[in-house]
Amino acid sequence: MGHSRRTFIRNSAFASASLFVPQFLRASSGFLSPDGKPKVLVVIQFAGGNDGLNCIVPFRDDLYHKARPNIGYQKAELIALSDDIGMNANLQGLADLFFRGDVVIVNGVGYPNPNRSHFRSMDIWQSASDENIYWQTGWLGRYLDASCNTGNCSKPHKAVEIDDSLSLALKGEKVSGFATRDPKLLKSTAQDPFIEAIAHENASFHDHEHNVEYLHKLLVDTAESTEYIYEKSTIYTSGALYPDTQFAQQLKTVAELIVAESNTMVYYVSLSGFDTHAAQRNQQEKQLKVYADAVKVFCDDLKANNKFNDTLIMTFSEFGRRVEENASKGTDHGTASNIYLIGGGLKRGGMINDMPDLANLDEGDLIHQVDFRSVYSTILDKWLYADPKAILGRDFPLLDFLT
Amino acid sequence: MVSQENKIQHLYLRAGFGETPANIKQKLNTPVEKLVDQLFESSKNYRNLNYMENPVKGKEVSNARILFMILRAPEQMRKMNVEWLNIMAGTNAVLREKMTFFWHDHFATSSQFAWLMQVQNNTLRKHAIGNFGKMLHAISKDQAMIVYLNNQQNKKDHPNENFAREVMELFTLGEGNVYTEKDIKEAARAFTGWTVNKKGQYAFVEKDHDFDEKDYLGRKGKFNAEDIINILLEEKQTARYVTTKIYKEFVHEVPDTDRVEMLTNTFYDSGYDIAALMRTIFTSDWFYDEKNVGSRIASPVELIIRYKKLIGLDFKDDKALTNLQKVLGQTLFFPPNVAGWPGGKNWVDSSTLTLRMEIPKRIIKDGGFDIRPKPEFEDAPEDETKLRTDKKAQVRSDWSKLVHFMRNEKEEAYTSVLLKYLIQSPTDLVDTALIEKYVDHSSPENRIISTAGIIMSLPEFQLI
Repeated sequence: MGHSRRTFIRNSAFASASLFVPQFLRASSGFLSPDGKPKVLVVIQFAGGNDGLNCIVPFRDDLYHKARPNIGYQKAELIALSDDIGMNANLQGLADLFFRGDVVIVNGVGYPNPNRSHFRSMDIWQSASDENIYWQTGWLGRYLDASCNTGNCSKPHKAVEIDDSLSLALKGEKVSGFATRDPKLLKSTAQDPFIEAIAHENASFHDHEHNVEYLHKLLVDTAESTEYIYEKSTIYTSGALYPDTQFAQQLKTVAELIVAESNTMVYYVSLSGFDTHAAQRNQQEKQLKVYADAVKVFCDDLKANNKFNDTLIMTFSEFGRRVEENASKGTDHGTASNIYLIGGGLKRGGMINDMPDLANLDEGDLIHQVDFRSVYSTILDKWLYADPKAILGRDFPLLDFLT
Repeated sequence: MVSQENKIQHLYLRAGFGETPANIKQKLNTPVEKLVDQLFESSKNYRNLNYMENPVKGKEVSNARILFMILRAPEQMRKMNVEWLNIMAGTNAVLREKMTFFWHDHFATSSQFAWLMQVQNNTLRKHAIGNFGKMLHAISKDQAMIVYLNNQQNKKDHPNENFAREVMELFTLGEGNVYTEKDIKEAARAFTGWTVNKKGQYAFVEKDHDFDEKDYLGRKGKFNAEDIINILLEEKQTARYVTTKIYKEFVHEVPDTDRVEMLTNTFYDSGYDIAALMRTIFTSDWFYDEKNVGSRIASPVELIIRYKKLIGLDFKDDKALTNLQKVLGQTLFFPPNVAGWPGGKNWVDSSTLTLRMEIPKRIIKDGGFDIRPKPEFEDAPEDETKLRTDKKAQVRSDWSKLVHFMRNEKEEAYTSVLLKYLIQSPTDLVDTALIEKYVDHSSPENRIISTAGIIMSLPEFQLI
């Protein structure tokens, strides 16, 4: 995907503006944001297909109760968001943020011709392709690519995934993100001193197209990012009381890097266990609680450190579930689900669109109201200051949740 | 200048999975034509993947039985994965296995049924160095493929275009070449009625087939699926597309237009004889050009097999081996989608390059891999805690072959000899003084093992 004129102008505007920015500030800037403050995006992925309809519940809708006699929620079991919509009680932490005006809920997010395979649908969400096209790069990887200017690209740590391996979402053509399960372990005794040594050597080969040079350059970049992220991870240790779950510890790691002002623009965290084919209530409730409890502490931690206004958290899943429950008190793979956007920089909190129309289904599945790439476009345009069309291949209507 | 060692190893890395230094040394004076003959000769006898028996045995299966088979599949698929890896690493029919591996990516398929993947794998192996046309016909009737590309849902009244689209886009013509959206619709009509029955066999359901006239790629007739495939084979673009892909995989990731056109003619004029095409490539002088030798980033499976061949890498537990594949980005039988593995530079990012380079250290010093792949989509949340306590996978290796090979070399020459036999790419960026600094000098044997280990952790070792 080539440079669009707009990205080019933005980059060159940044280039000239940066002449007036002190060195220490310049190093921590990504794309130029109008107020000069770096913005951070945290993506949380629910893996397995989260049932949005039992998260944000139309408890007055007879069709809902008819489709879900066993696993549906009654009003009394829910946190009321309005006269006819309730939030799953296990999302209490999210509800607290919602009532503060720090959450935007987008209903019915999906894409045309939805694919019901976990693998394929997750690839579609991560690459941001159409259903029948196979892209080998992710939307955030291409965002990193767009930062490349005359051969100089962002370093891998501009996008960090808290995991052992990197998701497609963070893979770009020219530069990919950086994966680490625990930045504090990056420079432990486990590191191979020989590899560290060659990472500091000359990486330039006479044939610049040769993979020898590519691998050496990647090694140098990796070492630089390792050094950088490790360094940042030692600056601030959060004293906030994060729950004792792996997911909460991952968010704690993210918070520590954000507070340490790492120049990372994107963080990526995943929570699995949403494939609720049987005994859904128990399993989904457990995961929703893991999610919301951790996110609440995470947001409070950021707020206490004045970082909440510059952080945007987006939560998605590869698909929702079928409207009708199955015989095992679970739900099977479906289509659209909801997205939660959390942060102090939202235009205003609340529900951005109508609930899914349960009277108008496509063979028992929700018909998506919003293309997920509209959400991405809005974030790319108004939060990450990049050109959505250059990254997503075409224009999608923007949503009104960021100024 | 490409050394004779690199030249011979180049042939074996591309036409197979590489050879040990001892085997390479033995072949240094044999003419390339003769080695290529041997490669074809030794691929005549081969072993099929034979992990499991047909669980259906010609009977119709109940839904409960289907569910049972699906639940057992992950473990079966893991065992099959290991079995195939061992065949690839141990067989004499290396060319056939390498081509089977190539077609496994070209005709990328996933299935919920391990048995169907075994059937497909053996179909690919049968035709791997035979006739592409025959393979295409066979794979179009392959049960796993039909299910994967939804041709079961392709019926006269409700055509499903998935199969027709991918056959053209990914298997024959290449995206956007020659065909139009209308051709996809017409081909889909011809494919109606091709399905898989409850015995797990290919079946043609007459009542679902559209027998009317089709207008396909400028030809008109009452075409059925076989006709469509024959028309695709008539199109020279099919030969060009497949040849280009083979060139990118076996010669250089950037195709040379003139050579690809020459090879396309060879392939097309031979009536899609895969052996003729591969023989032309392997016996051409340009195949051994400096530009091509050591230019490819090894795929994770190729890398693992190389370790198996060189130092007998083995894991106590099958899951550790499939986890390593998964974290490195390539698990046999689980291509990311119908387009196959992206390959090339896409194999490496910061974490996979680091892991690849740390493999020798993890084998020699740590005795295991503490790697955690992303959880499966279907995993219940409880499994998360299970993963946390996962112990290091115990790894085994056997350096004796390498030590034996080096027994007559002078200690000062260890680095240069091992570089010559283990590294295919240019060594301009290799700092031999630095290697010496980290070598364990405590005994000749330790010196050989540590020198080899360090060389295997060079970025250059990733290039084949």
